[in-house]
Amino acid sequence: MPFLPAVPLLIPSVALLRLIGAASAAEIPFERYELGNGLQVVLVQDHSLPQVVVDTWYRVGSGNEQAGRSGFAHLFEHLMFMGTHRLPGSGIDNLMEANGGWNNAWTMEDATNYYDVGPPALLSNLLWIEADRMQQLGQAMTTEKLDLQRDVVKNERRQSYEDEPYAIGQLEVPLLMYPKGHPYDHTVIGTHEDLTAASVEDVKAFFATWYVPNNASLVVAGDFDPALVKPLIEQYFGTIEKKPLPALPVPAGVDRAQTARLTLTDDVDYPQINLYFHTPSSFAPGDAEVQLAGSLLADGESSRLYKKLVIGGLAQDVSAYQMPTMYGSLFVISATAADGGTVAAMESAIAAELLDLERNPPSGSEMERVHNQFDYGFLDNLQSLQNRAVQLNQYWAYTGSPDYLAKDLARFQDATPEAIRDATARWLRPELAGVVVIEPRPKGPPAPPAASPVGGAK
Amino acid sequence: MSVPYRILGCGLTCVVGLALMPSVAAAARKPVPVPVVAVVPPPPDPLAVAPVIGAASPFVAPVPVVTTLSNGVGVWVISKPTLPLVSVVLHVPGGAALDPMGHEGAAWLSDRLMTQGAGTLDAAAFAETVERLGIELEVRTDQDGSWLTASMKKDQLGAALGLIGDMVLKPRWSTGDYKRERGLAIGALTQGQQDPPTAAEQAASRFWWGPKHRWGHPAEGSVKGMGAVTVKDVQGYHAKVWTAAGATITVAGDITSGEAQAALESRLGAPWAAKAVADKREAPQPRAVGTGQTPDAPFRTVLIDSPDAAQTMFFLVFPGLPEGDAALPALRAGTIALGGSFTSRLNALLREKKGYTYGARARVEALPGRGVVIVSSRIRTDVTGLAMTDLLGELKSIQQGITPAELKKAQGAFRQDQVEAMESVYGVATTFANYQASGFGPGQLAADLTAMDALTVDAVKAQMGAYDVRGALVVLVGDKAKIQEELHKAGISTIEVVEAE
Repeated sequence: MPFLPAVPLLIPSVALLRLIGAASAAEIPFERYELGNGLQVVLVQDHSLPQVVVDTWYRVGSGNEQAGRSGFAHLFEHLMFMGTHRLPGSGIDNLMEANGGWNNAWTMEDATNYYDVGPPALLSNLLWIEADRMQQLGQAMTTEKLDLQRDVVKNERRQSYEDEPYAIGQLEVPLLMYPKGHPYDHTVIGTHEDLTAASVEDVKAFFATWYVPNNASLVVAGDFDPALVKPLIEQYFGTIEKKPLPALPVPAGVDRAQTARLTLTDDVDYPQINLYFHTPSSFAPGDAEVQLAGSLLADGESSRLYKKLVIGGLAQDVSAYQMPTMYGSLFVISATAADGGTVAAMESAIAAELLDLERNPPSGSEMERVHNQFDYGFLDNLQSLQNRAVQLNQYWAYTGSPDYLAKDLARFQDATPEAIRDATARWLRPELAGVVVIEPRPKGPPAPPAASPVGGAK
Repeated sequence: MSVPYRILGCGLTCVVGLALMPSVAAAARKPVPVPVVAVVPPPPDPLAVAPVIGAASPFVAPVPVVTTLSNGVGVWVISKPTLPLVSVVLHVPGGAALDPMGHEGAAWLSDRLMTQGAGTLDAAAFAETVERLGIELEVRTDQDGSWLTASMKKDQLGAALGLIGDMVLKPRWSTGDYKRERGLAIGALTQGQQDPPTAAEQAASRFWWGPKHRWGHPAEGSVKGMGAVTVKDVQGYHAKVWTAAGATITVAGDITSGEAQAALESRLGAPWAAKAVADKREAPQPRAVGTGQTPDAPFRTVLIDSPDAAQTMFFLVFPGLPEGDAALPALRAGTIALGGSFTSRLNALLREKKGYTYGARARVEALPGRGVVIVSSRIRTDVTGLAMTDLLGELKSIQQGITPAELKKAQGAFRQDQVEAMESVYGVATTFANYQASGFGPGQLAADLTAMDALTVDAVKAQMGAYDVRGALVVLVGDKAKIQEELHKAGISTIEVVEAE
C-alpha cells in the first residue's frame, strides 16, 4: 500500500527530561511522535550553536544475520553510502561535504546507527538523503558497489583486528561465549569467507526486510524550527512503505557454567589475559550494578584492580567494563602483564578481587567515587549534540521510549553497595569466566599455528 | 509541497474506494461508470528533487575575557553556562624538546609523576581524592610544552584547584613512584613498537629531524631513553619549566571571569612565583644534514619490517608551515582537499575507487617554529606498489591546485570543526588554550575563520608545492619480503630497512 495517512498515529507529546542529583540544572526538552508508517521521530532543539544532527537508528545488526553471512549488517552499512537512483555514486558524501556537513555510521550486534552533522542550512537535505536511501537504496544496488565495499570492509578487518596488537582475540570471543545459532555467535566484522559470499540479492533482501520505517527511529537535534521541519519529515518519510517485520530472534540458551579457555599467539611482547562473563542485557535489572562494579574494579588509579595489578607490579594496564547488548551482555576484564609478569599471577589476583567484592560491599568512599565519576561522565557525554541524539535513539531501541534519561540516571544513582556486591556474586564469579589469553609469538623459528585452543571452545 | 501531496494521496484512496463500491452495489441497476481512477494523475514523488540549501547561519566565535593573576600569569575565561561543568587548562612552555640527549622521555615522565602524589597526599591518596571528587585530570607533554587539564562538575572546582596548586608547587617525587611509572612507560613504548601507526610516527620523528635533533623523538621518549631517565632529570625538568613565567591558564564552562580569577589567585597566583628563567622555548634548529632525499632516490624511504602484516602502513612527511604563518590557512585548505575529509582526493581514490584501504588521510601540524604535513594510510599488502603509484600521482596532481568546489568544501569543513569544538567545555578550553599558549590574541579563532573564508584557489595553489615528493620522508611498516619488489615497480628502488626504535 503506497499511501498512508498523513496524520501521525500518535499525538505528539512533549517530554521534559530533568537530570537529577548534581546535574539538576540540566534539562533536555524533546518532542516525540510517530508517523503513520511507524517511523519514530524525536526533535531536540538546541540553538546554542549553528549546527544540526540527524541520527537514524535501525533495529538491525549482526545478531540478525543469516548463517554464513557474518559481517553482513556492517557491510550493508557501508553500502548505504553508495548512492541511489536519485543521488547516485558518492552523492551522499559529496552533497554533505560540499555544504559543510559530514556523516558516519556504526554497526553493533543489535542495531545500526547513521548520523549526519552539519550547519542548519543543510538540514532539509540531510532529511531528504535519509528518506531517499530508506526508500530506495536496494533498487540501486550493483555488484560493482558490493565488491568495492567488500574490499573496504576487509581492509577494515585487517586494520582493526588482524594487524592490531592483541585484537585477534576479539575475533574468537563469540565462538567462545555463545552456542552455535545464538544471535551473537559471530563477530560484527565477520569473516573474509562470509564477506566474500555476500551477494547483491542478499543486499536487496536485507534492505527490504530491515530498512523500513517501522524499524527505525529518527532524531533531529540542534538549531532548527520544528514548525518547518515537521512538515518536511512528513513529506519525505511519510510515504515510505511500512512492512511487517520478522519475528525477533529467540536466542539459544547460554550455559554460564560451561566455560572455555583459549590461548592464541600474536606479535606482542607481553602476555595478556581477557576474562569474559555473561551478564544482564542492556537496561535489564543488574546491568547498572555490573557497570558500577566495573568502575569499582578498574576505573582509575584508585580502583581495586589497578591498585592490585598495576601498582602491585603484576600488570601494566587493566580494564573492566560491561558491553551491553539486547540478548544478554558480556563483561570483560583485561590485563596486560608487566615485564616479567605472568598470566597466572594476573588471573589469580583478579579472582581474589572478584571474590572480595562478592563478599564485601563497596565502602562509602568507593560509592562516592563511582557515583561522582558517573555523574561527571554522564554530563560530559551530553555536551555533544550528536551524543544526545544517539542517546535518545538508544533509549528507544532498548527500552521502547526515548523518554528514559531520568530513569537511566536513577538506576545508577540508586544502586546500593549491597546490590553491587550481589550482582558481582551472581554474574562475575571467576569460575564463570571464558578466558582468552594472548601470548607473545616466539621469535625466530617459523610461527606456530595462529590459534591453539586449550579446553573446549564452544 | 507537503500539503498538495497529502491531498492527492488521500484523494486517490478515496476515489478508488468510491469507484469500486458503487460498481458492485449498482451493477444490476445501471451501467458501470467510467473508472474515475484512470484519469487521476500519478502522485508526485515527494523525493524527486533535492531541496535547496538554506541560508547560512552566522557563527560568532566566542572571545575570552582576559585577566592576569598577581604573578603575571595570563588567564582567559570563556563562560559557557549550559551545564554545571568547568574545564581548566594550565600550560607552561618547555616540553620534550628539553629532554637531555640520551634521556628521551624525561619531560614526559616528570609530568606523569605530577599525578602521583602532591602536598600531603601520596600517590594512592591523591588518586583516591581526585577520583572521589569525579575530576578528570591529566598532564600531557608535547614537544614544546606541558599541559595540565582538569574537567569537573562546577562544585568541585575549588578542590580541583587545590590539588593542581599542590601538583605544581609541591610534587613528591617518591622513588617508588618514579620506578613504577618509568617501568610502565617503558612497557607502553615497547608495545607501541608493535602498533603500526605508533611505530611509523616514532620513526618519522627520528628520520625527519635526525636522531640528535631536539624534535627527533616523540614526546613519550624511547625505550632506551626512558630507561636512562633519572630522578634528577624529572626534578630538573619540573624546576625549570613549571614556573609562572610564561605560564597561561584557560578556563571554560559555568563560571564568570570574576569567579575564575578569585578561585585561581589563591592557588596559582600569589603562591606561585614568577621565577625568572632562561627562555624555556629554545630557538628552532634546522633539520640534520642527510635527512632529506639522497642522490640516488627521489625521496628517502625507510621501512620497518613487519613479517606477515596484512597491510602496509604508509606515513609520509612533508615540510609544512609554523604556527602563525600567514599562509597556513591556504595550506590547511589544500590539505583538506587532499586528505582531510571522506570525499578528499586520497580517500576517494585509494578507498572508494580502488578499495585498497579503509581510509587515507592528510593533516597539517603547525607547531612553534616549524610545521609538517603528514599523509597516512594502511594499504592491503598485495597492492602496496599500486597504491604507492596512485598516491604519488595524486600528490603530483594536487600541486596544480584545487578547484573552487574543493575550496568551498575545505572552508565548510574547517568552520564545522570549530563549531563542534565549541560544544564542550573541554573543547572550548583546549581550543583557546592553544591560542593563548602560542601567543595569539583572544580574537584569533574569529580571525582564523575569516582568513579561511577569504581564501582563493590561487592562494591555495601557491602552497601546494609542499607536496613535492622530492622533499618528503616516506616511512613504511609492512612485510618487507612481500612489498619490496612492488615498491621497486613503483619507482622506489632505495629502501632503508630500520628497526622500530
